Amino acid sequence: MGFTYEQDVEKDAQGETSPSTGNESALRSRRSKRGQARDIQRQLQDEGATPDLDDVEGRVINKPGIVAPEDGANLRDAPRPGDGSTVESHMPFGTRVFVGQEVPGGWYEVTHVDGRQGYIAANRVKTDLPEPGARLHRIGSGESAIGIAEGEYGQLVRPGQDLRFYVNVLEYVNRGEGDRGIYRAGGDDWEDTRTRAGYLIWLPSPTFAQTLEGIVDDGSITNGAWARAKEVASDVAEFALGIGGAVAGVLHGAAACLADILLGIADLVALAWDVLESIFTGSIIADIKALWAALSTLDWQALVEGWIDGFVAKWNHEDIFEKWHFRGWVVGYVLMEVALAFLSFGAVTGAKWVGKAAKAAKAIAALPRVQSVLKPIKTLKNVPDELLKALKGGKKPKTPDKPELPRDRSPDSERSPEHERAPESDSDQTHETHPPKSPRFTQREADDLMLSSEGRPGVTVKKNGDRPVGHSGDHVPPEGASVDEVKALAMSRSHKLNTTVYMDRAHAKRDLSKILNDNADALDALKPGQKLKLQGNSDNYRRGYNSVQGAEPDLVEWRDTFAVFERLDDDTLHLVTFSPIDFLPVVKN
Amino acid sequence: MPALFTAYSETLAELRVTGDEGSITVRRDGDLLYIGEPGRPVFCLEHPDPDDAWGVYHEENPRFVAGGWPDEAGVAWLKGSAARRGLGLIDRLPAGDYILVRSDLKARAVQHLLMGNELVERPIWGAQLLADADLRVNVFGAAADRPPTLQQPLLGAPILNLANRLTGIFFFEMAPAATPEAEARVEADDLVLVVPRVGPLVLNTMEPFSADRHRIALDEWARDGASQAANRLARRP
Repeated sequence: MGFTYEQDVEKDAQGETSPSTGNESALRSRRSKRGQARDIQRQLQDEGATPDLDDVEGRVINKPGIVAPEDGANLRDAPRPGDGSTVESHMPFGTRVFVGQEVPGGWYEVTHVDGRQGYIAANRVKTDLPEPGARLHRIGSGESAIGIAEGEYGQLVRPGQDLRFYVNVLEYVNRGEGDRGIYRAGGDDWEDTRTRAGYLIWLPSPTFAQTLEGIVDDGSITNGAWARAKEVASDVAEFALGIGGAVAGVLHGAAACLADILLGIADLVALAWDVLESIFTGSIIADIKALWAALSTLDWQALVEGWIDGFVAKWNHEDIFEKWHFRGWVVGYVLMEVALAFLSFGAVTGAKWVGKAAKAAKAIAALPRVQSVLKPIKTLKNVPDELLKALKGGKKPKTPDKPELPRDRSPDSERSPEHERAPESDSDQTHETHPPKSPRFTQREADDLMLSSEGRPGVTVKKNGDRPVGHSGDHVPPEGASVDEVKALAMSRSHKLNTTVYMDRAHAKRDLSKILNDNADALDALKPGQKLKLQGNSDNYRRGYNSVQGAEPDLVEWRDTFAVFERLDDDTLHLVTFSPIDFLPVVKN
Repeated sequence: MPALFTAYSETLAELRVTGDEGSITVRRDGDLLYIGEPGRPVFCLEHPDPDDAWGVYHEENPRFVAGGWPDEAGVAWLKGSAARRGLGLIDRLPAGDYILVRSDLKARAVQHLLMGNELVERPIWGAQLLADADLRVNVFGAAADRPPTLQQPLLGAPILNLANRLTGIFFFEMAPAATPEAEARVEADDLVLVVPRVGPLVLNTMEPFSADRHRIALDEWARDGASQAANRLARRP
């Protein structure tokens, strides 16, 4: 019993109402109730080979929605009111959700950007947004059109786009049948704009509102102009708008993968989802932007070849939400394959890449960002034996104790850019020109420090309440990473101006151990809660890749690094961060 | 406060302040820097690691600058600019060398501000003045609930090595925000920017990492960087 996105779309196009197979739908609708899910799945099995989940089949919508009633809406674990389902959380007025489908009985299946999924009564969610970034506003008593415009767009005011312009924008996007919350009284000038207290109106996003210059000023708006403006707005912050669809897609794709890999054995599917749900709704969703930045560099068309028909059209679908739901679906499916490999063997090395997404799974399993979000799998306890047995197919992993990343180990792929440089020659650590005579910190210890740095909270409370965490892994690739993996790591942080990544982890180990040994006394004297910021200076130029805001990286070189250490409450030394600094582009002759 | 004002052109002037009694101070507490009157600063800056963003926060119960600037030549040089109030700032600067700039740059309500090696969501009280490849300039208002009004001399804090080799300057309103009615008049007027060349307001992301490198960076800023940046800020189309 397989499932593909292709089938999903086809069924919808043919007027069939099922967006997915029973197992996936069951997971989507009942994912948080392990016992309940298992009971239902068991019941379904008893009733026949093909589950008939009338209660969750519906019409695909794949659009953003906004909770409209002032008292919000309940997110339920099943499309049933009252005691027929459990209220999982309350979503206040204005909450933005992604509406996957409408199911019989007047319910929307929704996904929140934080990964929560469930059902909301359809009459409590508005899906007719004038543009994807719009939000709802209830007009208060005495609130004027210009007052709303000032509050919402006051900071954008500039010549040609003053508050009168934004009043016109508000009036236009809220036009429609019946009494409107904002309307023209008599004339067609901005001064004729009036409001009705208690009515809901759409507030277009500032980005979108600005694109309407020249369209709303004279009131001569045409449908064509409106469509053009919508396109402009959608391009501006596409991922920000599409993220709701992407999140829903990841969860839907993950569920579909489970159903495929476990051959539709309902009990096992429910069991596996119970085990892995927290990973997918936790670390993966929390890191979705950075994860996408890392994954977007891959050639997905090549990776899914032979698996999904019409891939390119779906990947670049003209509807922003269809597009991002599909992209999320593919990523979720593939991530689930990798997650199952981690779960089975504790690493990906021993994995039998047998799923339909095997090619893509192998490719993304090597990415540091993927390993990072799936790392919590290694700490999962009480994984049912029956699940492990099913996943492993009764075979043991080849080398579970010494995991290796699947990668291209050819010398060319690993070292060619490094070999271009002249000044450095350090393939063996004995070539180091200034090794400490009696190093108190070995390179192995430096490596351990970098490994333990990842995601570990520090103790110093910052002004904004955040606790610093280690992130040397943003600048140091895994052992033996290929050039492509180094580049992908450099491109994984689009919110940073610069992300510079060592070409070779061995160099990072050497540089960090030098900093440690040069400052051993100061580090020893560090007391719990104290931080030490140090600059390092390598004897040789190092090379790596630098990406500016996630763009295609450039080859750069440097000698300076910085490191921040912190002594934790348990007296262990914590590496907050370690990174190249003062780098320059490598100019090729 | 002993101070020597010298106007070089319509857009550039120099101010040399000696002594520090009663001046605005920069107080350091670990990673935090407080800017303003002693004990009642207006802003707090969080000094990050070079990979992260600087934090800028409003302090509770600040003492804003008040009073005027007794230097007649200086006041005459400011005439016609946006600095209609808050001139007491110039009279309260800590000891150091400053370049005063009349700038026709406009505050831009961009979506993100570069605050270090990180782009952060622009707060409503922040704006961007300049986004060149090697110089980023942001401005922050005194009121937390509205954009900066800019009708006062703006106190600069150059941040060397803001992001790798890129330099940043953060400007601050140190007097209460203007009324909305007054905002409309500021658009065409020159901003008045106080750019520290030497003194405690010159900051450096790499300072905690290497004392030697910090000294070198300060020297380079005093010798060349400050005047180059001031010329950039003062440029006319």
